[in-house]
Amino acid sequence: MNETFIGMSAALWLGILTSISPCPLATNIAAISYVGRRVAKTRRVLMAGLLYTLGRSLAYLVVAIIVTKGLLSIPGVSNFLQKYINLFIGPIMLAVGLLLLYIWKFSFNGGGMGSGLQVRIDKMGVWGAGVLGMLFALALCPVSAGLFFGGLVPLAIKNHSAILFPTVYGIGTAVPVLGFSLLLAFGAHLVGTAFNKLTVIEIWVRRITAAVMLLVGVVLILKHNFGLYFGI
Amino acid sequence: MKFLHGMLLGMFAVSAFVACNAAQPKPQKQATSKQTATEKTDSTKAVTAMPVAANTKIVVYYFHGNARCPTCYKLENFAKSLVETDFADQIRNGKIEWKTINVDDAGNEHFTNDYKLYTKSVIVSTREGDKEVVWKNLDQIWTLVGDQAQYMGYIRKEVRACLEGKCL
Repeated sequence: MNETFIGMSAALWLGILTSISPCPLATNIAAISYVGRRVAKTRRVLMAGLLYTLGRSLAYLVVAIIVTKGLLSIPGVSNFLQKYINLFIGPIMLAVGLLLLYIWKFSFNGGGMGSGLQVRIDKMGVWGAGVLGMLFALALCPVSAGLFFGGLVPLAIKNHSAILFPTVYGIGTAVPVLGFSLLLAFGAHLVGTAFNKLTVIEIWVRRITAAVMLLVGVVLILKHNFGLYFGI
Repeated sequence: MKFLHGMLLGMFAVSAFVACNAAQPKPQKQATSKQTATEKTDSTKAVTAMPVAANTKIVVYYFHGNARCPTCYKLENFAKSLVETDFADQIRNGKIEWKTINVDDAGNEHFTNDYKLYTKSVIVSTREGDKEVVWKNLDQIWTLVGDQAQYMGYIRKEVRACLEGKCL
């Protein structure tokens, strides 16, 4: 019991260590703005944050099961994820940014898109946080590959815990995104309610989210698809 | 505004095309090692206590790819400066050598299979003449790199152990 607790704490710490390193900074910023973009609805932010965390945990869980069961080799999986998933992250971010931009534009202009469709896209947006979590977790950077395959997987094998430890690790990797999104949501809610400007704040946050997604998309494309180094 | 939209859409199309092209599986890359998680644990242990031969040489490798990151540069710079200062005498008399290798460069791909590399790694290889007798992946580097003194202490301890024929 004690050993499991110590192992779980180590798994959580490895997750946090992964998330605070500079290399997933761009995706963390994108995730914070995406998860926290409905600042007026704190419950939505909570839901999106939870789904984002679950998405990350699920992705790590699947990868851990694949390698601990020996279905695929660690170098094979790690190098594949680092090399290929990252190639698609930038274009996807750009696409999400453009989509958010169009939704905002249409809702701002009041035409072009029915309100029913907008609501549906918005609902999908909450689930999208889960997909984003999975995708960001699978887009391994060198640090996450080193800590996951070099730290977490041996720890999970040693403790015979191929399910619990990767899940806890996933939660650890989502801690900063979850924390900042909640701060953003509760902070905006307090300020917005005090000054009766919640709707205005949300409009701006959604605009900023679209801009952040576009910017992060461009940065990631230049980094992964065109091989430019930006110090992150 | 329209121009910006056009630019972004164009960038999306080009990057998606680049990604799809690059993601086409190449036959030689499928021949990756069959190392499993359990085997990995065994290989890092690669324990030997062997007599140090006169022609024993330690090669400390830092392996990276085309994609770099700030932590990766730290891993390389800290380890390189430690080896070059703490083992300056051994470098001078040819007992230790530091090598930085980009595994994405043509001709270096085999290192990924040779040392079962799954990310940027520091490998300590013990050689007798032209023959490699034992190697060890210093897989604690990622958890220690946040503390430069601890990280360097770890590299120092491991290199020294291999130098004394005790690659534990």
